[in-house]
Parts: sequence; C-alpha cells; structure tokens
Amino acid sequence: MEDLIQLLIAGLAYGSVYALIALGFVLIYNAVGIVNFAQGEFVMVPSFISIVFLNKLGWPFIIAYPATLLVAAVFGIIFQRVAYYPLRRRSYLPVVISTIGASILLQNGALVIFEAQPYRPVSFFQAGQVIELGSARIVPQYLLIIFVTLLMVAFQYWLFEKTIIGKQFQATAQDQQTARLMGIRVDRMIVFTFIYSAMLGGIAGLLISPLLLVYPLMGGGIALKAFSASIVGGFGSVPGAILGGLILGIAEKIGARYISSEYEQAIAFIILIAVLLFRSQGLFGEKVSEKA
Amino acid sequence: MKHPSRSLSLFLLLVCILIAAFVVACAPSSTSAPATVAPAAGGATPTRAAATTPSGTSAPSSGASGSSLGPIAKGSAQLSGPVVIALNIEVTGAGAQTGDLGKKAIDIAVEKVNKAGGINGQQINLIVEDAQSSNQGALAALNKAQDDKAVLMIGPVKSTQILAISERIKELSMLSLIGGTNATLTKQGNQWLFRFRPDDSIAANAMVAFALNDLSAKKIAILHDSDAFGTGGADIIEAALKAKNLSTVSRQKYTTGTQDFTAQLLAIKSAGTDTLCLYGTNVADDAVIMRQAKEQGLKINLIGSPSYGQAIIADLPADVTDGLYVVNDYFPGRTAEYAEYEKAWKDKYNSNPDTLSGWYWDAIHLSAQIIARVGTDKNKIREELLKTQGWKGSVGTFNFTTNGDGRDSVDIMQYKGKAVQFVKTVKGG
Repeated sequence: MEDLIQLLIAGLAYGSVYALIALGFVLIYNAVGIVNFAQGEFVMVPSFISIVFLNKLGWPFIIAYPATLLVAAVFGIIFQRVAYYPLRRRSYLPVVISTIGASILLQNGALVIFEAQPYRPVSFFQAGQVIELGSARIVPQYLLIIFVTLLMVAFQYWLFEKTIIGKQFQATAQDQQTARLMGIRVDRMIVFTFIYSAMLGGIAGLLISPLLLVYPLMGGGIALKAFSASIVGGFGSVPGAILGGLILGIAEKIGARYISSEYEQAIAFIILIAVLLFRSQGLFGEKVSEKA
Repeated sequence: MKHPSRSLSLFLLLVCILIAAFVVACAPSSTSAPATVAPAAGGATPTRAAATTPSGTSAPSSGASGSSLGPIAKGSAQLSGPVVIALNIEVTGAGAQTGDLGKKAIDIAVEKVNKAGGINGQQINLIVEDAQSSNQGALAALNKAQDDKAVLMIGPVKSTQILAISERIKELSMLSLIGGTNATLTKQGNQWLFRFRPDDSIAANAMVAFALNDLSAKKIAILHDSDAFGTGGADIIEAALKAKNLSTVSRQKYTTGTQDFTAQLLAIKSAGTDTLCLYGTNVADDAVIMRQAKEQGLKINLIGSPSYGQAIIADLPADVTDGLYVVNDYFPGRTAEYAEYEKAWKDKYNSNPDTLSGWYWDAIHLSAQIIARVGTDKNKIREELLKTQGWKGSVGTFNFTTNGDGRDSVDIMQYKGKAVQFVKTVKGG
C-alpha cells in the first residue's frame, strides 16, 4: 500500500511534467497545424538559463525563476520568428523539418556553450529530503510539481475561457481565416502561442531539473513521452494532453514495479500503439472527419 | 477542412516514424565505457571527486624525472618526421561528454611530450578523428586515421564501436590502443588491440568478492542499465554468485536516461536486500539513483560501477553518498605518476582531472617511449607493447598479457563524508 502511494505520487509528478510539455505541443499544433519537434529544447534551453541565473550568478529563486521564464518567452518569440515564420505559407512538412533542425541546432549549441557535463541546479529542497507519511516516503519536489501543474491548468482554463485574449486564441485555433475576418490579429496570436508554449516548457524545466540534471540532450526523452501523452489524450485536445500525461506517468511507475522494470520506458509507447490501433483519435480526441 | 482524418492519421504515423528514427539516432549507443564526468564544469560547488589525493602524497611535482613517465621519450630510433598519432574519439553526439574529457587528457599528454622535445626530437602530430558517437562514425574515423598514415590509433573507448571496427582494424593492421572494457574484445584473435583499462569481468567479479568477503552480504540485488555494458556487468555478477550457489534477491533494470527509479528501488527494498550492486553507464542516471535511494531510506550497502566514482556523484550532498562503495579502474592519487597527470590537468584546465581519462595520458606516454626505442614500425611497437611488464602509468601498473590486456586489477573506494577513501585493490582472475 505504501508502495502504491509512492508510485502514484511519483507517477503523478512525472505525468504532470509530461502534461505541461504536451500542452505546449498541442497549443502550437492547434494554432499553426504543425508538430514542434523542438519542444524538448523548450525545456532544455530554460533549464540552462536557470543554471546561469541560479548557479553561476547566484540569484535567489524569487528573481531567478521569473527571469528564466522571461527569457523563455523571448526564446519563444525568436524561435517562432526563425523556425516557423519564414515557412508559414508552406505545408506542414517543411516546418516540421525546420523544427527538427532547430532542435539539433539548439542541442549542439548548448553543447558548445555549456559543454557536455551535466549540471545540478540549486533547488528549493535538499537532495534526499523526504516527507514521511507512515512508511511511504514522499519527495517534496514531487508535490511541488503536482501543485504547480494544477495551478497552471487552472490558470490556463481561466485564460482561455474567461479572457478576451483566450477567446481570440481559440478563434485562431479554430479557423485562421474567419478569425482574421473578425479582426483578430492572427499573427500576433501565433506569436503568443509560441511564447506561452515556451513558458510551459520553461516551467516544466524548472520543476524537473532539480530531479534530473541539466544537460544538452535532457529534453529529448521527456518530449517524446509528452508527445505520446498528447496522442494518447487525443492530439489537439487540451484536457486530453493533461490526462494523457498523467495516465502515462502513472502507468509507467505501476508497470515498472509490478510488471517489469526493464520495460518502464516502453510502457508509454505500448499504450501509444494500443491507443492508435483501437482509438486512433485518442482518448479525448474528436473524429475530425465527422466535423468536416 | 484543414486536417481531414486520413491525412491526420498519415501525418501522425509519419511523425512517429520520424521520432523513432530520431531516437535511434540520438540514443547513446550501448556503451562499454561509463560516461565520465569531469569535476563540475562550472557546477555549484567544488567537487571532492578526484581531489582525493591524500594530503602529503609523495608525488613529485610535474615534470620531475624519476617516475616512469619522464624523462620523456628518448631512445635510439631514427625518426624521419613528425609521429602521426590518431585519436578515435567522440567529439559530437551522445558520447561527447566522455569524448571531451578524453581529448583533454590526450592534449595535455601530447603537449607534455612535445614540449620536452618530442620523440627523439620529432613532434607528435595528433590527429583527432570524430567517432560521432556511432559505430559508423568510429569506422569512418579509423579509415581516416589510415589515410592520414597514423602510426597508431588511440580509441575508441566504447566497446560497441570497437566490436564494429575490429575486423577493419585487422584488415588495416592498425595498432589500436583501446579503452573499451567488454571482456570479449581482446579474446577474438585480433592481435592489433591493446587495452589500457581493466575489463568488466574484473570489476564485476571484484564487486561480488568484496560483497561476500568484506561486507558479509547475504541478500544481493542488482540495479543495472539495460544497455550492453550494464547487462554484461549484471550477468557477470549473477554468474559469480551462481558459482558460489547463490543468487540475487532482485534484479532491476532501467534504460539509459530514465528519469525516475521509484519503482525499481521499491522492489529492491521490499526484497529485503542487504547489498545492492549498481551497474550504471550514464553518470546522470547514477546521480538520480543515489538521490532517490536516499529518499527511499535505503539503508543498505551500495556498491557502484566505475561511473559512480565521477564528479557529479561526488557533487551530491555528503549524506546522500556517504558509505557508497565504488569499484573503479584505480584509486586516483596514490602514485607519483597520477600526481603528474593531475598537475598537468590542473595547470591547463584549472579543474580536477577526470580520473577515467587517465588511461589516455598513459597511452600517449607509453607509446611515445616505445616509439623512441624502436621507431614507427607497427610490428615492432606491437612486440614492445606485449613485452611491457610493470610499467607504471597514472592509472596503475601495466602488465600486458598475450591477449593485449594491460591492466589486471581494480581498486575499491568508499565515500565517507566529504572525502573518498581507498579501501582495497582486488586482482582479477
């Protein structure tokens, strides 16, 4: 039982990180119809930025974290401008290739600037610190991750459902032409999407980097899981991305403990294949053809 | 509509294939050499990793003669021009971490030999060939080394790459000083391979012997990377236990780059383990395992593979690593030769040396000395290498076997508070 509690919390924590990144995937997909393969670098780049602020400059969290997110936002703008904007009138394929190129460029850029050695960021909680709940040992960073993710989900709901900018964003995602006719500045909304997506990546990076380490290839594995999560949830669906992330996170932990640890990394992809086979629109996706 | 259902499905399928290809391309090839990490390049705190030289060590300062590394390469061989030595190393790709450190070790060794007048007056011309962290890359690097007319090649350090290019090495008769530790590499009749590190069977057997004899272990579990290196090590541990009619209470695996080990550690804990053998490849994984073992309250003996001796582990808070045993190629700082290596590294890079890259330094020095004696004929160099017995390098003493294995023992060390202590040397059979 204690095992199960620990596994669930670890699963929820990692699932939350997948969910945050999956949201980034989905928002960009909804806005411009491409899959951004550099989403992992949206996690890696801000993580390195936080290393600069926290470790090298020694800034306190209260300044370093917002500053990191600010830089992440700027990074989102630059990324949009360089990797997406020049190709915006082409089909999805050149843009997808462009994001893959950007991903490789960013990884190797980080390798050149920061070298290959992993960094351990300064973090809120000491390594090894736990909260004991009976005989279950809960890592405080996991709780922080879950809490912040909940907060972000609530914030996003408010932003998209209750504000004008959110409604404009939704209109852009649904139909750019019509949105433009309604006087919405579509290009600006697209920039906004990239900024928001980069900031989500930044938050995921800040949350996860104390648990892992920061190194140039850190984003790849997590982004892949997040991508699977977004497909499992139904590609393009916001609640699907969140639930998909949580489902994968928990399934991984439970599967690794009670089936076989060897297949922990495979579990996400087994679920992905099963979902694609039996419910190709994902758990929460709509059948697009019906809409057409 | 913008995305009709069928094209969406096709698109997703395409994306999945692309991702798969991408992952295969990016995944670290199953490694034999544990990724090594230099003392925190710009990390938060100074590390205690390799800086474990007992104070007041008897090491003479750098450049002092009297150790077997100096006076450098002087002999009677006539050399007609610069001595070309190729380095087959991972400059780019997933192995860039290890490669970067290895290249640093080579650079200071070459610099030292060249500054001291080179080999009989001729400079070493080091040519760095990028193995691109892949088997194909290592092969291309080998071919390039041949084109560049290298006298010998140092590297690769990864066993999979060495296996992949072993036949070509034979075809070209390229004398290769390797660092891959897969036990079978030198037992396949390739007379051109010379290994400068103890092989995995020595380390894994030492782990078992130490657990049983010194820690009186009764319930041994293994947590290992599922790549070739980790699986190979774990298999040897199981075989060694089986030879004593024992078995593991739990064997848990993970994929390189796994971010969370809660499930594995819980399984190990509930099996009633008293000693856990850790066989990891990637030091970033090792660091996460150590932290989580502490978080899980795992109060048992931990014995780690060589990558656990690296800086990022030592950089963890002392109470996380306290008590961890590590089986390492050697315990740094016990010899004068190591002190020379350490000083050269510190002078040049202003950080603590990477211990696992010490063999590169030794490979340059030993080959320079041999070339000074017998010239650049690779058959003669090969014979001299085989004859090398009791040669003292920075990583320990080299006694080459007829298979081309230079090292036959490992050292066990232990983290205690902020220090790392030498425990004992275990000889391989």
